[in-house]
Amino acid sequence: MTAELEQKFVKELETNQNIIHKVCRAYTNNASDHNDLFQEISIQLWKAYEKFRGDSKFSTWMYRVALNTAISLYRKSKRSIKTGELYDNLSELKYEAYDDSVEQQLDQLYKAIYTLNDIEKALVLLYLEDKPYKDIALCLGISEVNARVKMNRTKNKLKEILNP
Amino acid sequence: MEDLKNYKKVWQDQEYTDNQLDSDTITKMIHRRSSSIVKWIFYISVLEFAVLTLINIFAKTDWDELKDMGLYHFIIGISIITYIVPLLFIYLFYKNYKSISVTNNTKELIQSILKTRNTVKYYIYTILSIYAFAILYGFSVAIQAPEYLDIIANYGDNGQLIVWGIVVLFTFLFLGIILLVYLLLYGILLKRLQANYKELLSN
Repeated sequence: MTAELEQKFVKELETNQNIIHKVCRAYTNNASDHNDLFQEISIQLWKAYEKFRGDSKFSTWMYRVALNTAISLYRKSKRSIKTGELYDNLSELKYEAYDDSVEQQLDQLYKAIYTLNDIEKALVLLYLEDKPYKDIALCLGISEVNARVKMNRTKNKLKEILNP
Repeated sequence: MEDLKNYKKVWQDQEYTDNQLDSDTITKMIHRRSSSIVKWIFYISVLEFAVLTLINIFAKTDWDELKDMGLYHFIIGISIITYIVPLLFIYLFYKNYKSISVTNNTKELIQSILKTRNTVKYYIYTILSIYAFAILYGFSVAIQAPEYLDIIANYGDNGQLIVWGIVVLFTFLFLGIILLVYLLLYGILLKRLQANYKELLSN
């Protein structure tokens, strides 16, 4: 691939890197795994970039590759820690929110998402990003009806975790 | 779902501020080696093909003795099969491996990974079956040689049955252990992927 294409890709990835960070934070529970997954997603994106035709938005395409990598390609390391210690001592992973209570809510949300299984995580992430059911179904390769059923179940599960 | 709608807003407003990667870091990152499960499957599969093929090539065969036993044509036939079968499977494996694309939907992606892996699994099953058949058939012919008939006679009236029992038992025990270790490794490697596939297909 040409240097020009590489430069273009790196620029786009740099601009949209928050998408990958969100996926990494949902699927891993410590900074080291976060970085490993970030790297794997970036490699997969770059490998697939030549075939990216721009039929969809770069961010949508990026979401698909990032989720696919997290669900199917990434090998979790043995150092994964148990739920409950999620990112607690990791000052380098900070998300800026407008006040403390919002920051807390975001933290609570990530912790709740982490307890879901890999497919449920993908569903919730796409829901939170406001993606239509048609896109969610296309991304996962399931029917729209099935996507709705799974989404309702997952939302209820998430609600229970957030408001026990 | 009011509560979740609030969370949606929080989610969409979040800004990842620290540890933002600059273009230099990203450039270095994308040139590193992938450690994905597909790479692992590829390396392990190539190793399996190589080991089985090397065993085939270097397995010492005493042709003269086999001729005496009347097994010459049988061994030639088996050897040809064990050369053609790997080639056929390597072709299928490569074809499936190439069809793995991270830009497919999740279901297709998992299917293509499992299909690639299954090709190697079926290869192992086929080769093991050929070995089992070769051992048992070879033995059934070899047992007719006078020196073996004398040994069998030592076991009394049921000599034939006892010797057959021992051979069959050891053949299946040997193949069973190989298969068990193999399935265990295979299970560990693909456990998460299979769970995700099951979850995706469930209603």
